Amino acid sequence: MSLSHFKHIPKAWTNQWLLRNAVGLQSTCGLHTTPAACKVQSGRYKVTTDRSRPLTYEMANQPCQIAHRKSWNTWNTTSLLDGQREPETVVEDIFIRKFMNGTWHDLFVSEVIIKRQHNMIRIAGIVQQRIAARKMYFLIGYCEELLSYWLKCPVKLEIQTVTDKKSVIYKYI
Amino acid sequence: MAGAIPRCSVRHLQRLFGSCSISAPVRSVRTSSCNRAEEIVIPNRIPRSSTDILEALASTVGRDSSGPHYKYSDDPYLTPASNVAKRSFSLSKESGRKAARWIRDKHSDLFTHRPEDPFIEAFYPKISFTDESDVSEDTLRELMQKCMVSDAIQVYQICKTKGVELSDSVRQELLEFLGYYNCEDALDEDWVEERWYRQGIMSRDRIRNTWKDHGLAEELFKSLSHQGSPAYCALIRGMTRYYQVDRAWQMYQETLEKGIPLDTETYNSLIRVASLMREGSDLRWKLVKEILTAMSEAGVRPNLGTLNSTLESLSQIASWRQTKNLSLQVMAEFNRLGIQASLASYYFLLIIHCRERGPISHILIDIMNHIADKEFSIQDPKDTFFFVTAMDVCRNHLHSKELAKRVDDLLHTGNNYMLIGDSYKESIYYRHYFALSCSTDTVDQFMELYNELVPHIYTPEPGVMEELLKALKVHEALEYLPQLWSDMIVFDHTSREKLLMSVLSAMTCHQPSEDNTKLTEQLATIAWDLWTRVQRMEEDRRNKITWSGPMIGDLLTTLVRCGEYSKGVEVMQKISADPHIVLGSATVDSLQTLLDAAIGNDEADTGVMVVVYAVDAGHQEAADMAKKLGSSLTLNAEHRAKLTSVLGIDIIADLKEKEISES
Repeated sequence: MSLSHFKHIPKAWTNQWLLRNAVGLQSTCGLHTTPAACKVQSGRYKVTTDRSRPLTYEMANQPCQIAHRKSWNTWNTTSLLDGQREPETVVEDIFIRKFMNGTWHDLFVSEVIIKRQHNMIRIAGIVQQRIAARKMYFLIGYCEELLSYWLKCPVKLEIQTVTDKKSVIYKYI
Repeated sequence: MAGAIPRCSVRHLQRLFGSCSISAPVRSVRTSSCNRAEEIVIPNRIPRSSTDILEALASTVGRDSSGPHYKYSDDPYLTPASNVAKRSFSLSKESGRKAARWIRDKHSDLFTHRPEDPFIEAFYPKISFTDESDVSEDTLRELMQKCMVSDAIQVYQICKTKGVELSDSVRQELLEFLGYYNCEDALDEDWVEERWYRQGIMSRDRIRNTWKDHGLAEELFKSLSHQGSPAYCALIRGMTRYYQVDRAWQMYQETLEKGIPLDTETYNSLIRVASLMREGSDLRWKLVKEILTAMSEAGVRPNLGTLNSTLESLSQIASWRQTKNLSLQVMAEFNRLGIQASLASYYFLLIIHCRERGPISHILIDIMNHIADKEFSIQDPKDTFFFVTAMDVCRNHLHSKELAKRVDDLLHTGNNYMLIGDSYKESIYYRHYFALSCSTDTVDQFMELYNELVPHIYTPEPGVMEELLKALKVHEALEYLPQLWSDMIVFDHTSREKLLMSVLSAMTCHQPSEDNTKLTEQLATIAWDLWTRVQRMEEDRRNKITWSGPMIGDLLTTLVRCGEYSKGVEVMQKISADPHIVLGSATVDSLQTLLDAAIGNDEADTGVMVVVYAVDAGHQEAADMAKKLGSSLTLNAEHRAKLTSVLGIDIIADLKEKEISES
């Protein structure tokens, strides 16, 4: 007795119907699924076998530690009541981060921190002392000016320098 | 804490609170009955600008001398210490800004989005004009408003080719504009660092005629339908500004012939260049008087500019015997007219009265009595010369520290610091102040000033450093020498021969004793550091330091005296092996000191080396030194052979004979 004898199932559609509605019936071209893992993996770094991966304090603390052991990388009022320009601010932040990391090539050893205050944007970060100080000043002048031309507001850079990269490493995993 | 508020901010706070006194007690108004209501006086509203509170707050914060200027980043790596570093850091930052502006103007099509409200023009690319642009009178007016000279000229040319009508008023404005700028772009006001570091014109001999003859300004002048007073004024003023004095004088004669009236500023500009139009002091003064009489006959009121240009002309003829009296007469007359002198007037008075070759004049004291505690704003371009000149007079002419302190206090009242001018004047001002303090104060007081100003407000130049070291040597205050040495390293003065010589000669004054062991150690470290630094310099450097005899001598003496005998030996070995690195040879005293130390340490090798060197150097005492060495230490055959070969006679044999003969 085949399913086609059931009057309400059209003959041509038998297999498909089975695929869609039969519980427990696994077909050769179906999806393999597992139970949901409910796992978070954002902002977490995998442990290496020889414990050689360096982590800064910020990397070592997971996003759940924000406001406990860590603070935000960008400060603005967009998420408060009557806060405005939330999407534009996010896009601007992405632009600023790409711009800073590209201009200061391989020099940043921390994340780029962006603080918006009144009409100003203050950009902070820790930089290695790999280039001469006057070259750094050139980059500071250039970044401040170009970003203010792009974002149409005063931009101030607050750069701190560090002699070697290892001094910002918090632990190795 | 009220006493801690500086005077200037109290004034600001008083202005904020207007007529109310700050310490007014609160009185309760309800003590009396309703019948005798107290008179309540409501004061008038004081107009406030939007930044008054910020200015009042800012006036409570002075310059913090413990950190770099606010334009530098607050990070130890990015803090400049030497003059070279300060200059290069600020100019590199500015060149970064210029690069950004160039990119924005080159790729103006990428910067077209307008997210802000209200529109801020400064962030947008500059509009470039081509032959097809739609231009009009208003465009020209806007460009003049923004002081964009080359763009204005271009727009004018476009208007001419397109045949756009330009009214006489716009032509007149353009004439004044081009006359002021001489058809050339001035340095943009945004480039503050470049302006700050541009060498101010302290010397007055570089006056050349740079006016563009038959240029666009004159073309405009001719194109005006009616050349009236404003046109002539603009042209004369422009010509005198750029020292085209002959033609300016011609134009002036034309106005006299045609009976065209001129305004005050034009007369002022003519007076200012009067010295260039005549030779001979009395003729120059006669010309100035002529112009002044013409001015009064025409009924034109003089102003501060007239006072300053008259004094400027007088300062050009300062060597004339009548100038001093004339200048005082001029001051008195303008005072009677009610014209307040500005700092530029006082500057000219100082030049006239306090001359190098002339009697000492105490006019600065009178000036300071008159202007102490006053706040000034810029009224004349030459105002910025006052403070430098005043400090120069205090140092070179009057040698008075008290007066210098008064000038310094005036500089720091209110916003007067902005009148220091540019970096060149600032550095000269502090140089004079420093040198004056160095020569008149005790060492401790001077070092207080040093610690306050150096390195963030002022970095001493090598010349000043030399005076400092001399003063330390004279006052025997060698405990400051380690600090000065480390500062010299930071300021990059260690490649200057004179300074190294001064340091070394200062160190020889030190007599080590029980209570200054620490200083002794430090001086030894300095001497050794000096040696290693010089030795490390590359051979082909432009200003490589060659050791001189006295320098090496002082070095050896210091090393030996301060307990670094082995290092002294090392130095000795080096100069024995390569005598050509020393110009001349080490002094006899130093060699004797080293010899004594060698004898004390029982090192015959060193002793022999010293004697051999002394003989090579041609010192007459070499023979005595050899005798001393021979008598105090036992020498083996090798030593004796060496000594014999250089001295020619067997010293030791002589000594032995003497012993035998004496005993």
